Amino acid sequence: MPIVVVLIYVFIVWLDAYGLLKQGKKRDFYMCSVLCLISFSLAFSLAMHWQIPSPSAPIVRFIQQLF
Amino acid sequence: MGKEIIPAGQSISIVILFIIGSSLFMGTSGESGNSSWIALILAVLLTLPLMLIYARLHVLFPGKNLYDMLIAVFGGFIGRLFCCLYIWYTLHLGSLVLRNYGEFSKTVALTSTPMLAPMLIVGLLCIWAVNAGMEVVGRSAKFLLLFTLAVIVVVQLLSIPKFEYQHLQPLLDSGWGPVFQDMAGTFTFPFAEIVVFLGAFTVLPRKGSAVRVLISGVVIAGVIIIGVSVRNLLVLGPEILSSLYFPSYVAVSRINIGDFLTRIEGSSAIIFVTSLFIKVSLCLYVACQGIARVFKLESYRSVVLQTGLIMVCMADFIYKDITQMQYFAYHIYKIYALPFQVFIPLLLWITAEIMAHRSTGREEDVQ
Repeated sequence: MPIVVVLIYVFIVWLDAYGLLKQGKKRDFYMCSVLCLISFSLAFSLAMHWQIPSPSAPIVRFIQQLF
Repeated sequence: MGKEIIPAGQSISIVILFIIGSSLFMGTSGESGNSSWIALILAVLLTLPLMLIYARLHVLFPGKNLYDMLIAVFGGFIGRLFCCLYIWYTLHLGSLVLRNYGEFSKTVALTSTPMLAPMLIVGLLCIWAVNAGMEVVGRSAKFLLLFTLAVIVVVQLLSIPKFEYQHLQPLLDSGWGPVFQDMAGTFTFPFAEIVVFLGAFTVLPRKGSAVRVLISGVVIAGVIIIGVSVRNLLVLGPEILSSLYFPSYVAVSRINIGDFLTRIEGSSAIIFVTSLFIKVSLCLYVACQGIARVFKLESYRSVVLQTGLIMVCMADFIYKDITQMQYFAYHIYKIYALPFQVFIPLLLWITAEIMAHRSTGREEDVQ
């Protein structure tokens, strides 16, 4: 599964981020690359079955402390 | 690319499908038992003044979306800070809705399929629709709304033989307290969630049309949700209703017309998919608009694919299980969402009114 994720992301980078660079949209390319890195990290972690901390947990804790 | 404009009819369809999105199958906050319909009516009434505030923002800032308004009113730094909060909120909301669908698939429909698979399919569809533009989402919403309404009406009529009217009594058995609690819960989920639509105000046709779109959208969606909730209550009763994760699915499964028309709950689940498609698409569109505005990108389309993939991945690890999802939706969300839905828009409106008043006064002084 992790290999599939890596292959899919190679295709995504070629299709999405590299496409923006070819169009000369540098700012869009940088932003897209950062988001691509985040989404790849998440997808790869999920494929490896690594534990990712849920963003809901701190929200729940904060609201429980408030009330 | 030209400016995207969608007609009022399509905008109303988006608003209706956005509001009924997850609440059609998940139901609404259910502390008040058989008086939940009173809480729903009160929640709709409470939402109407908020819609007038949102619509007023459209009049004060014609042709601008939520992010433009925040930056114009609060300045570059604080405005962008608020924008980041809304980007997070829309991204989070999109993930929550996708997860609702994932849990629904895992629990009742596709029990052996990994949860990520149905979420990814819907997520990719939303990415494609948002990349194609809001016109595509608008046209899809208009068609899907007609389909959704037809399914709801047919299911409603077929449920009538299963209605047990004694479930409605005794009214207000536990007093007004739970009703007000449910009202607060239903106000934030799903009605006031339409704050997300402020991020797509640029697609509205002309100055002032937001009132018609928001008010009629909320009222129609309110009528649909009340109708579906009362049907679930009459078919299942308050005790069973409060113990279920997806009450509509179970209520529809009880339909049996002459031992011939049975097991139609699978077909009715289609409307869940259609409405959540519109809800996730709007969340994704608004999140991408925010990213494009904050980072001064040429087009929001540059980040649609990546933002959509982050949304799908986040939906997978946002809750541990369905119990945590239910707890967050009915107990935490009503407090968590309040600043995004009420406090920040209220602050924005008051500040914008003061600014508009001052600029009018200055113009009069010059004359």
